[in-house]
Amino acid sequence: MMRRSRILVEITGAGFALAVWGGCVGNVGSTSTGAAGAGAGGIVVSGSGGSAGSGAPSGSGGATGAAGSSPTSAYIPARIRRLTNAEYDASVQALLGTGMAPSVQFSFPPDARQGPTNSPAGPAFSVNDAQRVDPVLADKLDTAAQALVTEARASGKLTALAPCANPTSGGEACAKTFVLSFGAKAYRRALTDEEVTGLVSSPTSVYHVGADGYTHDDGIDVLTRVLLQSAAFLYVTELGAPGAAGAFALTAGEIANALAYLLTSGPPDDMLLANAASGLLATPDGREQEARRLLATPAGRARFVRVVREWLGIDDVAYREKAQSVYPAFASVSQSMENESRAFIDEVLNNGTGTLAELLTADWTIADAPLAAIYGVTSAGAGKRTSLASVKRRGILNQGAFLSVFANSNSSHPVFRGVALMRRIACLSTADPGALGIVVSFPAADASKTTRARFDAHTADPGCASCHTTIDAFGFALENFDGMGRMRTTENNLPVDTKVTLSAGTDLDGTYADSTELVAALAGSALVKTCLARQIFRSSAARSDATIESVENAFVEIWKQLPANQQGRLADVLVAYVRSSLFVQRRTP
Amino acid sequence: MKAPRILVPAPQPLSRSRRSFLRAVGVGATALPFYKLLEDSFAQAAGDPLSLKLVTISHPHGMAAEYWEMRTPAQPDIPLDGRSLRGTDSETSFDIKYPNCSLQPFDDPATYGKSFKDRTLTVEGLDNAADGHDAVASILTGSPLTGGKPANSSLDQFLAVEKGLGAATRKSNLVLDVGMPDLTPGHTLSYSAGGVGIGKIISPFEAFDYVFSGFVPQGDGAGQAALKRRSALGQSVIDYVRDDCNRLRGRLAPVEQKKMDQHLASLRDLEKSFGAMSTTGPSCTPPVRPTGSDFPTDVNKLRAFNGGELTYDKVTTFFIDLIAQAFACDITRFATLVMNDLPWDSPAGATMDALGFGLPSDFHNLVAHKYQTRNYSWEGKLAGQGDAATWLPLAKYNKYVYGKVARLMQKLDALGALDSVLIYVTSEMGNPNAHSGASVPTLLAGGVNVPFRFGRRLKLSVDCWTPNDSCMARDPKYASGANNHLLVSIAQAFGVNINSFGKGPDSTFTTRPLAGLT
Repeated sequence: MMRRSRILVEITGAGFALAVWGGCVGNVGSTSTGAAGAGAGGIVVSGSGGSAGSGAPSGSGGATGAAGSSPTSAYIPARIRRLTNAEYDASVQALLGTGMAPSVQFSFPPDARQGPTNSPAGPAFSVNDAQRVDPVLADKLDTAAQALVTEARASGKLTALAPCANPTSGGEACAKTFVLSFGAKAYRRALTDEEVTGLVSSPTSVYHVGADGYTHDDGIDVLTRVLLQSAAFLYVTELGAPGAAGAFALTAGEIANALAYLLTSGPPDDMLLANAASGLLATPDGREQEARRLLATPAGRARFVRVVREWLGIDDVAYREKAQSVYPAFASVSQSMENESRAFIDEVLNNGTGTLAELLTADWTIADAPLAAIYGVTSAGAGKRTSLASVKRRGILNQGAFLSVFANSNSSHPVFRGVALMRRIACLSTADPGALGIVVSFPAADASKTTRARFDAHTADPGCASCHTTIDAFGFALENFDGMGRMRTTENNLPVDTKVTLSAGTDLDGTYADSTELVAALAGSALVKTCLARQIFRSSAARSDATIESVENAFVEIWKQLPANQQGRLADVLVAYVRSSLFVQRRTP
Repeated sequence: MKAPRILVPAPQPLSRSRRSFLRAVGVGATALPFYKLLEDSFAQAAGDPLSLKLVTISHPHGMAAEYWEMRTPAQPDIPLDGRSLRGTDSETSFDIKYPNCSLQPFDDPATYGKSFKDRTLTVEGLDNAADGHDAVASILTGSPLTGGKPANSSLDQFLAVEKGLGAATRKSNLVLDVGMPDLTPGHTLSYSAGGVGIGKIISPFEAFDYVFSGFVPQGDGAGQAALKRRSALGQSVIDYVRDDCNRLRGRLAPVEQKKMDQHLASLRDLEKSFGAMSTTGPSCTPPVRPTGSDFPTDVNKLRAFNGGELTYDKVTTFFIDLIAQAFACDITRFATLVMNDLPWDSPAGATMDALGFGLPSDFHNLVAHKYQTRNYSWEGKLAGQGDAATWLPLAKYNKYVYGKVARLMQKLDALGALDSVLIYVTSEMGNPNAHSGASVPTLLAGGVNVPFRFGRRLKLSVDCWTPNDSCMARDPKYASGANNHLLVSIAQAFGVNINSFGKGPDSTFTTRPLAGLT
């Protein structure tokens, strides 16, 4: 392995001196969160290795196979997946009709995420099959279950779900009816005899521990509490029929569950269950039909908005803080920025073209008055499209959320932005300095320079340039936006230079005057469109590491068969995945 | 080639009282879920020393070396506060009372009741497996990070869960964080098998309940009856969910079974919390639960960047006291605590420095990243003395951290629980301006039952000193400085006979305990 020497570059007020062996200085960010450090390189499946650290373009993938006849290794391994916090909330809401969001109310530990990662946003996607139930979560799941039962008992919901004509002598029979119906809904499948025995029939069953010496209602209460903590409730299974081995299909019920959670972050509704039972979901057309129906539901729309926000790393902008001395206006508009993201993405996906191009280059947004003022335009009103034609701000990468998240607390940050664009938008792999043995130091703020000028040490030093020529070029194009996304033409009384030249051997190579030109190029790039397919795959497959690389590549091949106008349309990409055998086939790990 | 003989300390044999307990109940009883708990009760009643406990505390942004490292005759003669960095310190004879020394709290009887100098052990020159803020994730895992993830579990989880040392207590472990609930590597110390972050508690209320809920005094009849009913219901929940997990586990491939293993381990903790709380520690009077006038009840108000900064100090103190109490009551034996920076850029209108240290409120940019220590040429010659004006601000925060550790020792000692506790305090970085994980500041502290020789200061002879432009901590010649060796030592001190831990460029990084501790 090539040894890279590392240096500390001492920055004085007058300039800096590079020590003898060369190395790389990097401005690694100033937020005091842990996430500000060089997030270690994700294994970006882009056809090239993850650690080369050059701006290698994403390859076109390795696995061959037309849609429906992929080799076995191109199937996702059989697995279980713990529900995300949002999926858990939606599931209990569907079961009990509650308005509670327990994961929020009881502050479940945040989801552990997977997918493209860069500072300070961390990994992207909350749907992650590596998630587990740790002791704190187990504790809270029980607390939440008890609270849900208390609420459902007090409101009469449980009585309605578990009616009993004769609770004194016929309690167990009523409980069994309850478990077979409500339990099946909770487990998203029929219960087994063993489960029914453990829940109701045996003398030491959950029901009897609750009811004997107490009341039938007590028995129902503890049954509900148990069902909401069962493995069968908390995990979605992708295991096929009992005895399935080699390469096999998910059961009809599993396909229904997979479709429901993928498209709505919630359990299957009655129509989906009926279509599963009828065999409709076994066919690509049937799955497409249901997928498009679900995408149009409120839950479907909300889920897609969340995935796009997670993909771009902007979903927690409202939690960010900026230096009061530099960006005092940020605190009062960070929520507006979040609202803008949600409204804009939803509008593009549901009332617009639904394409990546529109996400990236729209000359409008949906912004409230305070945020519109930051943008230098007048808000068209709540829910309405505000025109940006008069300003040089295009698409989601020029909105406050993206620009603020990928920035310092007190300045812009070309490296954060550049890495975000490379890993999240273009799927260009770039290693983190830590993985290369490079220890970056932090150059002091310099009021006599623009941010770009301070970062130019990267390109001046050959040890840094191999990565940073590309990274910084992406980032410098956005330098006309400060650390909270306000437009600027000067910085420290010096003109801001946004002209960049990309030459990384990709279809993005070229010279761009500013971010408007760059995002236009991103929107038209085959590289970027292919990356969209990969990110949709990763957010859907709940995994993005080396174990799934061949499946992802197989999906890219499938996606390439789509007509050109569908390749960039997010819903069509997702539907292509749902139609494919990759969605319904698994293999023994 | 013959394998080298590796000398490891003999495992702690079962004490006489434990052997007699085993004889009394029979080997078959060892499979019962509460066996360890009962064995422990029996052993302690017979006068055995308590089982060892481990608390790991991480503090961000490294250390101002000038106010921490040993002032030996070999140090450069750089003036500071009318003295010099060169002094007369040795391994067993050293001064931590000089002006602004960050270790002062350990030799400050006026503030902390007694001097704990004889109970501390500092180590200079240990290296973390990663650099930068994210390296918190490497501290207890001894693993570099891929995609922000370590490769293996952290030592606390390894000991408590995988090796079952936490099985005897109501909670197998306690994972706390000041202000940051997210499972980002820069704020997560504890990881389960395969490098999956363990959920942290940031709320004092939740932490209190996690440790103390279910405690009902013996004399409260109605309370005891209610407790019994709660226990019965809770146990039936556990029994069914456990069977459920085992059924599902049986259908899974080995790589997937790890998820069920973690779930089952978590259920064991939940199960214990349903049992009647019995106080087996030497001194256990549960403290009073905090109220809404102590802390905001909305957990989001405790979060970083959401107004939580002004609660950090109070929350940290609360967590320190809670850990002491939890250890004294033997409710858990493993705890981790991730500390946070001082208030960061306080909201408009609030005081800049809530603790009155006279520090700028943007600690990260204006203190940690301003720090300029001396540097050496590639030949090892002193090239620059650094900027002394940047040392004291960072040292003030370091001393603040150590003040909390001294408080922890004071509380444990007052509860009669310090003897069996090992405290491990470190930072993810050594030199914060360099974002370097080399030469992180390692402090061990503990009681007489911990098999380390305290009251000393160690300096590794082969040390990657940063900033030195020819020094790279992951160089094989610095393998003896990898903090993996300390993790092995701690495991062995706890009676777990491993000889390697974590992941490194090669086995010289990860194998063997750290020389000089015992």
